[in-house]
Amino acid sequence: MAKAVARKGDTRRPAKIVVTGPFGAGKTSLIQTISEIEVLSTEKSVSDRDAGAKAGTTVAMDFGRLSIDDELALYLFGTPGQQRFDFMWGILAEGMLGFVVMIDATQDASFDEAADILRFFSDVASVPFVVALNKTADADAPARARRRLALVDDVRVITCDALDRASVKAVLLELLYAVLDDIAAQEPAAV
Amino acid sequence: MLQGTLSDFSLPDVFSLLALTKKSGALTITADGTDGRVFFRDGLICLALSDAKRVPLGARLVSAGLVDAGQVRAAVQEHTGDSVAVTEALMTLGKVEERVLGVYLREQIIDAVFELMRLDDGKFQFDAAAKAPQRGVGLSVVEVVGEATRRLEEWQAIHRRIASSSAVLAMVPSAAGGREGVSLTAEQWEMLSLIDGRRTVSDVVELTGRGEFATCRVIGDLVTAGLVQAKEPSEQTDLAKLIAAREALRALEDVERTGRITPGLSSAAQLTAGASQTRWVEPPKAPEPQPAPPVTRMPSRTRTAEEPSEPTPLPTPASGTTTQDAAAPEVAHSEEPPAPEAPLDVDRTQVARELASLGADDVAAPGAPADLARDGDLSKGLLLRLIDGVKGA
Repeated sequence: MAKAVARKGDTRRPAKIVVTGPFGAGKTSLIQTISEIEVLSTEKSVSDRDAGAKAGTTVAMDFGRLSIDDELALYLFGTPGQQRFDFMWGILAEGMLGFVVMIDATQDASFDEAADILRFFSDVASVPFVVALNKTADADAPARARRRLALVDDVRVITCDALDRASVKAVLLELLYAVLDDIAAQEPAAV
Repeated sequence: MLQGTLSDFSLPDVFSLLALTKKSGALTITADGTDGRVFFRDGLICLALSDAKRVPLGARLVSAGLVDAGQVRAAVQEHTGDSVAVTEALMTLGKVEERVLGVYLREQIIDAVFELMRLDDGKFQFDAAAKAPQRGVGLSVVEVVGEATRRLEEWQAIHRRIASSSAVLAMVPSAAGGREGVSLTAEQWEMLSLIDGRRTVSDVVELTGRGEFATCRVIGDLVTAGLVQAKEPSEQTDLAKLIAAREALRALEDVERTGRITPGLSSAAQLTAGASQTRWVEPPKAPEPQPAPPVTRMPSRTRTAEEPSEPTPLPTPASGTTTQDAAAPEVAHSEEPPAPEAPLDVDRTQVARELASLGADDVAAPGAPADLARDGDLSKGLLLRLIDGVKGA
């Protein structure tokens, strides 16, 4: 599918989703899969303990966009995975309507790092989030992840394939439905 | 004793004389603020220092990951005041291959001679009794002077792009690449990582450990590419102007939102202060030691003494790729090892904001992140439009 060219002077109402998670979880892939523009990835060659995992890592952010209509656009911001770049997390979290926590379900360490990241984001912004388990289709994986991360019941946990467009759309929809529920819960009850 | 002034004899002339007569010893060049030294072994140049009080070879080897900073400090402390002894000690550290060491030593020699040849005036004095390094490279005067002269010619062009060594370096808020994007070499990226809107040209030269010419050539390329500005401290960079404008705007937004001024409190900190509920609960038990409390992860945090200081990756002269370990500025002769640079979290945050701005300006709508400051007017209707949009994407 051809990528659309970014529109200069875009004045559409932006909505922002942050995609976070540990190093190598698939955040950049997820944004690249769904973005209509060429994703801006500020990657740098890996030179430390993670060198064996992949060639580059995000050091500032990934940035993608999905046009909704003539007046609305969804912006996707991917955070750096390595904790030494955590100074970016708070900056990217400003103004988000919710966030996706990506976890490489095949990497045990990914869950520990995700717990750290979850704690940070939950503390700086009280917004809904979903947990996306990448690289697995195991139906039992969400339940295991929920226990591992000690998530409350209303947090949605789903499996996904960050390279599959339909799967990525499902992740975003889960988050948007969670935000919708959140809004509904905050509305005064009808008398 | 051979001695004179540079106004009567140029350095290449003096070098040639020492080479023709196959002298061994040290030629000291003294000028205003400079105390350089060039060592000869049988007419060949085997070591050169543009500042005899420093050991730039140590910084080069540390930057390349060939030795660690602690080894360099130990060598400097053991041989305080003796450049040759320190250099010889460095040559034996880290099991560095002779051939590899020769590359760094050659670069060091040419850099130093290049800097000394830029002196307009000064005195020189040759001491045949001075000890010269007995191992390592021996470069012919023709090779060294030839390369230094070539650099002097290129230096004129570099100098036009970088006003002075005291110029402050800052990344430009809007890169010149436009839709085409910006392509950087690994060497340029490493340089950008040291440019924070506060450091001067000389600060960055010190941090890289690669010498003034090599460092300034990369900075000059970044300036030419429209990615970096070099401004005198009295001038304000575009980045500084942008940050000032945004801070002013943010203060206005805060006043509008809260009806009061909250100086010094970042928006992230305000979010924390305002968080009233969380969907996250602590795991019942943790197999690993618990991480620091979340508040220490705030962007404006100050690193605690227990935390290791983060190493700044530095380029190697050969490949321009990152190697490892700490960035050691040129190591000065001193009883005390140089103090590590204090982490500047404020700088990092500024650079991060700058990067965020660059991304929006270059790839998508200009100013988009600024519009994303807060999402306070979410509605059910907006969400339903988003859901429909994602479904149809």
